[in-house]
Amino acid sequence: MRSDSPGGAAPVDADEIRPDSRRLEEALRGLLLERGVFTEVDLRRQIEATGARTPLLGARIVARAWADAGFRDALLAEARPALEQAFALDLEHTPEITVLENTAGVHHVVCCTLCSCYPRNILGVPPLWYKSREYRSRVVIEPRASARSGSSTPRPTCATWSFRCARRAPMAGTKSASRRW
Amino acid sequence: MSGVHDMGGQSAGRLHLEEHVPSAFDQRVDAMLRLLAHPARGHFTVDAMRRSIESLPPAEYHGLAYYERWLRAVASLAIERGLVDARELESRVAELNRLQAPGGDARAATGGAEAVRPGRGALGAGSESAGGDGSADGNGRGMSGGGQG
Amino acid sequence: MSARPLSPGAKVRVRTGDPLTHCRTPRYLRGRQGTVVRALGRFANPEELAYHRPGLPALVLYQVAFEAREVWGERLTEPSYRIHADVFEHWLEPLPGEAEASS
Repeated sequence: MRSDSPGGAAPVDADEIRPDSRRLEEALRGLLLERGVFTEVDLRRQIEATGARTPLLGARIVARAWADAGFRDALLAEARPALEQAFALDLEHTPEITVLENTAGVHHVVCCTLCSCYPRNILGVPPLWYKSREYRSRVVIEPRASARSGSSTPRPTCATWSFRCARRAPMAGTKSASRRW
Repeated sequence: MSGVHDMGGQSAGRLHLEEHVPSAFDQRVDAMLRLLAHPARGHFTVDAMRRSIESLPPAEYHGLAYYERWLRAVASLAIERGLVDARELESRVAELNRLQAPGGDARAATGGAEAVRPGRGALGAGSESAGGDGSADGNGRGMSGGGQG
Repeated sequence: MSARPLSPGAKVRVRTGDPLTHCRTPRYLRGRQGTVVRALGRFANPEELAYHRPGLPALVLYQVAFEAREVWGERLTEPSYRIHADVFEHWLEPLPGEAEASS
């Protein structure tokens, strides 16, 4: 599913969405609005709030962890209060967050094989590839090949790869996987 | 439940890592999901959403775009929870078919109705019709589901 | 319903079975042996929440480490690595002879 709208421009509806999906969305939204389940303002605010969460926040968090050893330790020990305090985030309705540190010997890859669990309240919506059949199927059985797939830059060889099945919402910070952000 | 969603270790094709800008459709569906599943609103849980999406027939699960299948999962769950009435939703979709498919394209109208028909299992939580026959028409399925987290 | 707690380091096996209803234990882990890393807290059972039931009493969720070689066997095409998955207590059985937590 692709959209040609450049970053920052108003979103356009992708050509690949089926007409019956469009009609179902319009019909469902209309009925829910009429029933007062939510309002147009609710929808608008939710879209804005979701859009405000981007990988940039993740990059800032990682950068602070590199620069501030105290924050780094707090982040690894118990991520949620550390994030709430350091970045003034409201994470009350966020599932448990765990931050994993990559080292020279250990690289973490996060995947939800069952659905698409992701730290949405920190990083925003997950990338399309994270939710794809290919990623959810393959990365847990061939992580290194999956990491190289589609990339022109060879990944570093790591002694140990560790995966989290995201019942909660783990977040991995790494210097090398810049495209994840 | 076919278990189509339980993908870890299955064979699959090449990863595509290109960026994807969310479309307006994506944004609207995503917003609906979050509002309906918000703990403070109490309509349904993320677990129920997951269960609904897992109940989609395999052909739909794999054949639809990410937000297209979430939309169907949430529509079924909204019916299940009494937030919308199934017949009313069907007739609203049929109305849109008439308005948006000039010339009365019967195929377009049929496609819309099939997409929304809740099926026999619609009104009982967990009472999805049995067996994954792999049919692509979506009837009798599409119960609530959808787990984000 | 809650079993005795599992300690970090405890060897466990994921139960087999293929429920027809909502389940958060992936099939590729069923029957596999792993090691408890730590307990993650108690959570309402998602298998019940999925059907609008309260899912109580809350069950312990464990972080369990699996060796990729153990999980995939001959299907593994890369050097082994560890898979960490969050598994609910009712899907885990301690291996015979494993000491359990004292409290």
